[in-house]
Amino acid sequence: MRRLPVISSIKNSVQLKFAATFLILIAALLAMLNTYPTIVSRDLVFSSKQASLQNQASVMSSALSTPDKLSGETVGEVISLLDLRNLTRVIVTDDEALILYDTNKFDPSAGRYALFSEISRALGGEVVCYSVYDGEAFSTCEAMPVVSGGNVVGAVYLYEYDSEQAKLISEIQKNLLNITLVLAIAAIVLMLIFSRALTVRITDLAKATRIVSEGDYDHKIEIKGNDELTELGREFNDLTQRLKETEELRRRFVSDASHELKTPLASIRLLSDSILGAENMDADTMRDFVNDIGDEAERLQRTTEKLLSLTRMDSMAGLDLERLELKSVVEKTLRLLAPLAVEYKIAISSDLHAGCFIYGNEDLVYRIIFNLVENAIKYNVANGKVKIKLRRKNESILLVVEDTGIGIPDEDLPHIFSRFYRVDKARSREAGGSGLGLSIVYDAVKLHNGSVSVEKRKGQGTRFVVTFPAYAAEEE
Amino acid sequence: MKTKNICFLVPLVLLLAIFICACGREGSGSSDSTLSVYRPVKAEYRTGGELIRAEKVSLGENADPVQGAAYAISALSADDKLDSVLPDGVEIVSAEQNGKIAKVTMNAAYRAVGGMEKTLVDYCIALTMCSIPKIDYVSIYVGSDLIESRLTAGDAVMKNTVVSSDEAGVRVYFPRLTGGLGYEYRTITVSGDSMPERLIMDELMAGPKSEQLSEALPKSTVPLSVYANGGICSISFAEGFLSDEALTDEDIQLSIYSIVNSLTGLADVDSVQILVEGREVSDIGGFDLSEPLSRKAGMSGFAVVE
Repeated sequence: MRRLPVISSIKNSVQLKFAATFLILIAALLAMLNTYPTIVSRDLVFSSKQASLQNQASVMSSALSTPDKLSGETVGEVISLLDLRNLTRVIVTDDEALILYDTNKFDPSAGRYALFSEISRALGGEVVCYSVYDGEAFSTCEAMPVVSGGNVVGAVYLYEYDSEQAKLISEIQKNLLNITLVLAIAAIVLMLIFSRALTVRITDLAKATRIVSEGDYDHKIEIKGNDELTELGREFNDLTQRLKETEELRRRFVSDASHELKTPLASIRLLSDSILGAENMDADTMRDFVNDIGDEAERLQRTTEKLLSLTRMDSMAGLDLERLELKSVVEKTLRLLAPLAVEYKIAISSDLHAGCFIYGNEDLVYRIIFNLVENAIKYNVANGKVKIKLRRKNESILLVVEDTGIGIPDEDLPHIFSRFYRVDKARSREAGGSGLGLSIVYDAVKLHNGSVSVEKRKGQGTRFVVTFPAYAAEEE
Repeated sequence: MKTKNICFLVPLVLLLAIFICACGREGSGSSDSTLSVYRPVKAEYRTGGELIRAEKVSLGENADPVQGAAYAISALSADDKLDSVLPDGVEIVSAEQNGKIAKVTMNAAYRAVGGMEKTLVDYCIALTMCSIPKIDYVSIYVGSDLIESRLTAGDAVMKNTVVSSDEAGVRVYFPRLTGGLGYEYRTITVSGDSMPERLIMDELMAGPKSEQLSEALPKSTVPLSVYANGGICSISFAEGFLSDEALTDEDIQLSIYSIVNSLTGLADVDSVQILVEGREVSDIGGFDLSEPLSRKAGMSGFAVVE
């Protein structure tokens, strides 16, 4: 089995693109899932903490706002009335930043000066508030001036360390991470399954193509599912069917052709052998034999010419097309066929309109007309008639060739344009036919983008109608 | 290529020459002293929580450090994030050393400075002066009027040392090389099986970090137990506590007050009872330890100013 390296790279590319897109999307979603909720909840906690601490500071500041100068005792009394259990540290200073009250049990600093930037800003009249989250806890800080009689007389400083809220957020983060992992694994598994299924079908298609291209036209793809690939599979099967039929036609054509060539050759062989084999053949007999050889050779010649023209038409690369006036071509052809008509005692009549222009090849058009009229003459009855009509109808040129001849049986009508098809083998042979005449007509008409049809005449005989597209004037 | 190289080399050589000259000017022999000048951080940069910051300044060889400090304080900072110490119009008239006190005389404009601004001026001067070895106090005068008496570096709390309800900074006291006691901040984390008193003793036994301090207790000292009740913290040492012959009375006093000051720093501890093998002792180096000891005037420690 021939290896197709292209297949594996295609497989990688499609599978990779699909996988990459899918994974990137999932990764983006999961990243969002792991960052956004955490950020939002953290920000919520920030604002709630700042609000609550600001509230407590306000209460404290108002409570301390007395006309008397702040002192350690007065502050102590006021503060003892408030609930400060949530606060990790509370400092109250006077307007010089001297600490009047400090809840720090580890290093109580009353009597010392608090050189904190927050307190300095508060003593300048500013309310300071910020919150920091370090993954372990929320550390929130609040500093507010104590105002009395329009003057800043001191400052309160609150500090809170909360690891509970932080723990909640950590929990959320951990849970989200777990969900993420599960989803990620599921996504990868699903993606692998699906893309595997996809590529298996594509690989099957590729394999089938390979098998068919090596000659097994009977190989069919199994029609599975109901999607685009199924459609592709169906088309593929149709294609192989048509390939098979074409192959069949070709084989038949070749075998028919070789048969047509073999027969006259065999006759020639026989005749020449007879001549050579005979001891004392008289001159007349010998002349007859040689005549027959000549006839057969002539037949061979005609057949090969016709085959050649057919194959030439099959591989028509550059067809010389020109503007043709059909009336003159028909007339010329009829003149050439006049002797034949006389020989067969057929009367030819014509009704040709002028101005029927087509874009075509003169030789081929001549051949079309010649073959049709020749058939009409040969397959006619004694004293029969052949009529040729040429006229324009809308955008087409119609050429009709009808005869009063023996006609074509219904069952043969669909096949008469096929190569080597003969209705009446005996008569055709006698008339020197090869079965190719109408195939040539058909192919030549096709090359002119036209069509040809056949029908029985009312009464007796046959009518052939050739339709050419009319020559459209060239646009400047 | 060649000209490019020269263009690069010439300034380098010049710089090198200047540097050598500058080094040379500072001379050899006695080491030049460096001073930490404390300045306020400019308002727009205070969002980081820092209010004042130290800037290292070298004093010339054989210069009077107090004079040099006064000069540096009055000068502008090299760092553009730091403000000047003295507000507009305020000047240091003179500065001189009186034993352990730096006497700083300001001009009349100083009287008009009040509130937080005055606190900042006072303590930038105090911290700067106290970074000079052997200066422990700063007194501020206007003319002959004493405005601020004996400011110390330890009076200023530079930042919030409380992290959480279990984790905070504590002051641990050690003897100073320049005499008396000094303290350092250490962070301790309290938990179910370690109370703060125990943790402070552990830090004391671990020894000081600063080079200006020395060990409080000989390494042979073994604390046996610590417990606190009703404001008194009792600590028991193994036999041989401070019994080394080489220890002077002063050494012993410093060791004892290192323990007392460190432990009474906690809000819940008012006095410390030292025991040897669980028993009270009446005489260690002439010291009577039978009663609980509280902080003593004249034995309070000083902050270590780096």
